[in-house]
Amino acid sequence: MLRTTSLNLSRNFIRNFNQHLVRIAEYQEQVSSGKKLNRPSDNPSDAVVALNIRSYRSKIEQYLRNIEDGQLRLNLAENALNDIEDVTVRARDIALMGVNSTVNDADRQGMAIEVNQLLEHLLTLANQKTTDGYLFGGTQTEAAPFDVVRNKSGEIESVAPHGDISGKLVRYVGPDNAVTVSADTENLLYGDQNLFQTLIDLRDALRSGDQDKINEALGSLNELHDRILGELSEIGSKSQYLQDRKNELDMESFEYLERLSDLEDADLTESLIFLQQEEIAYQAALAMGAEILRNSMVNFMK
Amino acid sequence: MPGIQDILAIGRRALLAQQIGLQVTGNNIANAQNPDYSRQRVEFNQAPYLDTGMFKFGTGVEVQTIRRMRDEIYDGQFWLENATLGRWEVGQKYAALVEGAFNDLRGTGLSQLLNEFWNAWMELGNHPEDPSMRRNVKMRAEQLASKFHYLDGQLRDIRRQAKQELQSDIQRVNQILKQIAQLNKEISGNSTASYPNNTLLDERDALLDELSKYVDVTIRQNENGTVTVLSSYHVLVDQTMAFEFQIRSENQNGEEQIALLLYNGEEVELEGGKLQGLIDLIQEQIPAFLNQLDQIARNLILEVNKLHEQFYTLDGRTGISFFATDALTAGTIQLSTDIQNDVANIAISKNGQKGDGSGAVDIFKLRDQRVLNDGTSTLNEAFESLVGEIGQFALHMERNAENQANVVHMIENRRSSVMGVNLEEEFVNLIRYQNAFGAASKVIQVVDEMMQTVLAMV
Repeated sequence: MLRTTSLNLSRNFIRNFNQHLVRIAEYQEQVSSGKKLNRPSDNPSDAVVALNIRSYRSKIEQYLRNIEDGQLRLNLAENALNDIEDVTVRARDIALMGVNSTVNDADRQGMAIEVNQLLEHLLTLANQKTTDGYLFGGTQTEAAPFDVVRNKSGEIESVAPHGDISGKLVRYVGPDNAVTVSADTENLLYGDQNLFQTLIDLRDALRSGDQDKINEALGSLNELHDRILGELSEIGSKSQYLQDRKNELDMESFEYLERLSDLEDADLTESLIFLQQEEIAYQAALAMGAEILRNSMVNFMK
Repeated sequence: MPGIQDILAIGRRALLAQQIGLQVTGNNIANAQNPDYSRQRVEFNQAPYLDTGMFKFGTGVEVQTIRRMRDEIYDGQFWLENATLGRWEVGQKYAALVEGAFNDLRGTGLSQLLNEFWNAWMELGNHPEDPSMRRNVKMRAEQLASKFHYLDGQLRDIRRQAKQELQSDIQRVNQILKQIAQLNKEISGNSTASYPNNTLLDERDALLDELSKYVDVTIRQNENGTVTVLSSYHVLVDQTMAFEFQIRSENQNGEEQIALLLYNGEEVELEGGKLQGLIDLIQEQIPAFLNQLDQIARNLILEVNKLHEQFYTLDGRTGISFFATDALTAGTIQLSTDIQNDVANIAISKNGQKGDGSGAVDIFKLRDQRVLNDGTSTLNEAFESLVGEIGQFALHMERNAENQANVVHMIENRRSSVMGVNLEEEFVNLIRYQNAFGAASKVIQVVDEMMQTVLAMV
């Protein structure tokens, strides 16, 4: 039989209650921090996964910010294109009236003035600013995207793009999902048969009473109108895509958050129960230690 | 036929023997809580018989020896296992320090700063001319760099602490070796097999206990009572000679290399003990972490610069580095002077127009590119797995230290069951010897009365 010695008894007792204390401290940390993963060594592989998830979530957050920013820009472009559509529709109405042979010269002069006003309005719309540069300037932010040449009486004679305004603004909403959030205005505001030139031609044709030219302008206004509607529907579907993508990412982010919580968060009830059990065991150890260590034959010797 | 005096002599011897018993019991009780003390036991022997021709008479009791209760097998086990414990425990201590520095789970670590760094580029890409976005990229990069500096500095500090501890430990070990050699000398002149000097032997074994924390210890008992002390087959103490350890420190490529040497300058690797644990930390484990951190910093600098140098700054320049190109380690990473001087020098335009931020998007996308470990991990992943590795390291050390503590505790209990004092046992002995002492004095009293009777007859 193994002898037990006085030193052993006290040493074992100290060791035992220390072990209880260590475990109590562990559960207490879990309860007070609410986390079971407090340091990498608590579970190294879970820790790596948790950090991975955090990186994913930070990326998703950035994509969500990009979506927000993209939606803002698409809205601005949509509003501006709607205004431009209004201009186009009004100009087409005027052209329709202009080709009517019952209209006299004086009326046509009046129409020419209105078209000129539309032209000025279009220029304002086309050159509008945003917080970063110009709405239709692409990546060219040095100057307003459309330069104007005016005649002696101050009327617009021609409009040309300032530098290269074809640069696209792109927002990433996923690793490989790039969405162009700037409107494509080539062949609409610049390039072949653009709205500026068409309005200038219409104004001049109304002034000179040239029916053929008015007819020609009417034709290209119809085409331009279709093009604007096409661009607007494209913007609409991009907006929808961004909204869908946002929902997807929100969902993904939430799923990651749930997984993160599974990995990191302590089950509070469980921790509390363990803590209580440990405390009871600790008290029992203390009581027993006090009882046994106090007992000695010396108490019975006279 | 023995005389009355012979009975008196028996009584006298018995008195003396019980007195010695009480002496030893008293000493045991006094040392009951001294962990280095070995319980002593008086071994009695019959005194030489008296030959009267016809009868052979017993002449009472004698103390043969005062035996020191000790089990060499348990001692040997304790010294080996305690050395392993010393190795794990020191590993655990330093691993916890390393882990503290790399605890990214609190959400303020390098991995989070890396994420914020990448996102800052994307935001700048969305608003290429916004000066606050440019300052944000610069600020995030500076935070990242200073985190690299901090982690590198922490690892180097911890390594330095380990080195200091190693140095003071080696001094202590050498002191112990000299003390053991000195005790060997005293024991060989002062202790024999039949009359051992238990106090000196306990003192020596206590030193061996302490030594076993630092290095693995085996001993060979010599006939003259001395011990030869060995560690991993190398002699540390032979008779009265101590062979001291030395430490060698030399610079290789700017990094200090530490080696443990025997007295003769031979480099040695021990099988256990705190010294070897410290050497492992200083020479292998911490440098491995430093190296990985450097790899991450270096690749970050090179990859970001490679892209950044292709793009145009706000004033149309190209070929500008974002990070300084002459500082490619975690301890030195910093922004290039161009970026430090003016955030307009952050280059993100691909077509040269100021409103183009597509280059920043390319830099953001670096976060998903597997540029490290032979194209198997991204910069983020490389750091995350470094954190995991450090966690694994800390866990490994912690578990091993805990398990080994249990092993040592078990052996300690067994060893102590032989050498430890049980007070109840001693109280029983106390009463036994007291009674025997009383009985012996009764014998003397009776002899005295016999003498009186005889004298009265005269």
